[in-house]
Amino acid sequence: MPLALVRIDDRLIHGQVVEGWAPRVQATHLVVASDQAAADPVQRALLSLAVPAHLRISCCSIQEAARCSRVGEWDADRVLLLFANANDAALWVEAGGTCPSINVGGLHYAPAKTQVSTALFLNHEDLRVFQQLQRKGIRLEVRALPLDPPLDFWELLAQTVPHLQP
Amino acid sequence: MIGLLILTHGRLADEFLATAQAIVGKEPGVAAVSLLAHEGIPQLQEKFRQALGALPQTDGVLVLVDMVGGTPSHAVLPLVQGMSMEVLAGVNLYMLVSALAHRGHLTLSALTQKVLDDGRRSVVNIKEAFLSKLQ
Repeated sequence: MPLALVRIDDRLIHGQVVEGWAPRVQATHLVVASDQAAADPVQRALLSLAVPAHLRISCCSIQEAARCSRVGEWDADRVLLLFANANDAALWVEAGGTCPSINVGGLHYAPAKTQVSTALFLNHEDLRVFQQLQRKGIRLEVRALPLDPPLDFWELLAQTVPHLQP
Repeated sequence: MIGLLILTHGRLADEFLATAQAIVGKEPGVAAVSLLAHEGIPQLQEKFRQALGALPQTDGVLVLVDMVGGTPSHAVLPLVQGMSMEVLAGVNLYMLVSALAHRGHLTLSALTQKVLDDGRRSVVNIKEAFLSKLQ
């Protein structure tokens, strides 16, 4: 079964994902693919806080997430796959993960990043990574919540921060 | 005195504090921290640390967040281990007023239990309660 949603969001599992996206895409399984989170018991404990009982949740390394995609480990589930940043998503794709599109949900403020929209801050390095994803034929749509209008990542960039180049 | 810190999405925390202070009076040792839409967990943690630094620490700190599993709760929980700090989710005005009213004469653990109990008692189907009183 194809993935229900692939999303980049540095807040990982939070209200927008649990209350907004998961019911909308009829997800049955939330997967956080992050080497950092997978190795950190505090983070793993936090992620499972307040996830409703009908949703399965797991946290794994990026390599493990790619393996699961390749071998069809999640075929019986409707997986909502979460990455904390674009780089992790690109590593997953390099390791054999595939999806037609990625939802760019939130990359919040960080020093020396340019604001693109309310919850999207990018630098040149991020753009290079998003370009890699684009070259793999992955459509990038910017949207915090399912009922927001989906914005094409590159069109949004051209409109709001034309000076920001990879 | 036990320090109080409210941590929420949006500007709820500021408004909770302003409204509670309108009920019980302006008190020292209370802080509000708001997670704004453009901010991530690191920014919120930095604001939390700054607010905490300005609070009295001698009798501990009670932190009230808005929603279990939300980003404010995710931001604060990694910081609480080894600190004289309790954290409750689901803050409402009743809990905050209770915390302000009782923090002067209770220990941190007793205050935490009191505010938790009051919070649970404050969520009520008041139409039902009202009609049952009428009968």
